[in-house]
Amino acid sequence: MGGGDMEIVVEEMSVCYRQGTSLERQALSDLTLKIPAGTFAGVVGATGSGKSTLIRVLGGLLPPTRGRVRIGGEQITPEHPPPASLMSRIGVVFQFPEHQLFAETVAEDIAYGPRNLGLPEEEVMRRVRRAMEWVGLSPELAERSPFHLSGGEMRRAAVAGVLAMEPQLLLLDEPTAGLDPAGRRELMERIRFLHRERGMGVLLVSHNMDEVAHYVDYLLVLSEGRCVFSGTPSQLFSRGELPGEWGLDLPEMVRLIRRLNERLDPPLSLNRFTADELVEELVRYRQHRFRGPE
Amino acid sequence: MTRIARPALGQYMPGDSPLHRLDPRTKILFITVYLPLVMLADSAADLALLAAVALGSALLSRISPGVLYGTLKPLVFLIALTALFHLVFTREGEAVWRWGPLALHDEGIKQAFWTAVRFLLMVLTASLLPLTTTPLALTDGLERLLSPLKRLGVPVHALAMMMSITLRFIPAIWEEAEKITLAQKARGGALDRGGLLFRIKNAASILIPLFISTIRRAEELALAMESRCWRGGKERTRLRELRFTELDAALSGLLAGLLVAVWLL
Repeated sequence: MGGGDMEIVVEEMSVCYRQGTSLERQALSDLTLKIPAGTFAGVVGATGSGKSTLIRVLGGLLPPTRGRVRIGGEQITPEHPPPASLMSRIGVVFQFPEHQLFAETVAEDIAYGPRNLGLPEEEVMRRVRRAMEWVGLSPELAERSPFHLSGGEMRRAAVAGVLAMEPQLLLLDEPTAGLDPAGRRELMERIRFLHRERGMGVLLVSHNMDEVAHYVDYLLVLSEGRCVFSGTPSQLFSRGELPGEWGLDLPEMVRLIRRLNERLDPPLSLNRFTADELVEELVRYRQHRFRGPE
Repeated sequence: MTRIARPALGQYMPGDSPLHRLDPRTKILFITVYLPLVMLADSAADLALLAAVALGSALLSRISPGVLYGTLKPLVFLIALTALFHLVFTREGEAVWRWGPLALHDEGIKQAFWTAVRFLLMVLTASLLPLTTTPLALTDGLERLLSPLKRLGVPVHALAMMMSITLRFIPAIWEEAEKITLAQKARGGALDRGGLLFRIKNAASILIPLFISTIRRAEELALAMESRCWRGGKERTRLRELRFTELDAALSGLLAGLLVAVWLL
């Protein structure tokens, strides 16, 4: 994989659905943003803020109406659709990806993407095995029908189908929606593993602020088709308040720390996003107060 | 790259034109009389008159030509094929052009032209109905028009409900199809290239998930309806009562005029 050169630059891009009819809708307007290569980036925003549209454009599946996009040294403009070589380097996991399963066996379904890449059969099978391992599907499920798996297994099989193409950049549209907490955590941990070990660039669209705060190193906020914030999660959440029109909540941990801070002086820092991190911080805080000059 | 920016076929286009404001019953009646008239019309004057009505309504509906063309487009091939058959197989009148066993007769050219015009008029007028009428109004209108059949034991309400659900789900299933197509496209499955076998395989990668999701949708809907005690329209009252207005009177007048004109001309 190796996402070394998959920098994403979006310049004054607009996307308009159903242009010229009474159902016309502007999904993205004059969007400009930049995501450094190899980051685990996140996109958040209220429903209808244009997140899914952004994923479609970046995945080369929807042409922008105006403006341009540069990914991995290639250009996408309204006139120039992305070359196939670029599309094969980008993997897209849509919302509820298990709805796209179709083959007779799990292995066949996962093999669909690599086969379309024109790889030799041996390599295809090797990639299928590896992708199943990455998402944590046990090898004996390979010959089962994908429709007889549990919900969580179906989700993982579908994600494996994308990972088997070994993309340099993985776009994920709410990959954990509808999974139980353990399933969410496991899937995200595995994606983080691939990001760290294989250098795969990740762009995660999510409604779950806790997830975003925990996994992402670079965060974009979309509101009504525009990018209203870009920076690290700490930069965003240490503000303590988010503008109401963004339609976003603070992560649970940040809200808890804010409650604690009503009673603590000096206050705790707001950029702790997991229970473990907060416990560590509290231990340090106590030690500091015992040793402190009083 | 994708068809996503195009509205689903025959989908309701919100608007406030005279056509939108007509009572659905009048529109349905108009279509049921207009379509046979187009088939029966046997003179150029008849068809010119009917074409004027069709084009006039299309203009009045204020639906963009792009959308109208979009609804006609899938049928252009069929229309062209039918015209071609008339052109080649009609052996009446003078032969205008010969090439080996093939001959074009002037009667054939005439018939091909009129068949194409008839088809276009029918498709155009028929597509204006769903384009300017909400599925709900359409079903309501149909149910009211068919309600005399209730006395004969025909489950009119259930039929209307089935129709409304079908109409309601066309855009949803269309969207689902586009989503699945995009997902498979992202996995390198392009429908627009490769040999026949490759294409069939790719069609399966879209149709199978689509069937599954449609069946799931139907099951969920049935559950949702039953859990809200749907009993097939017994003792049901309506929020929106249908009302005839001057517009409907005007269209009915036009329809009567057309009938007489086609009769006489």
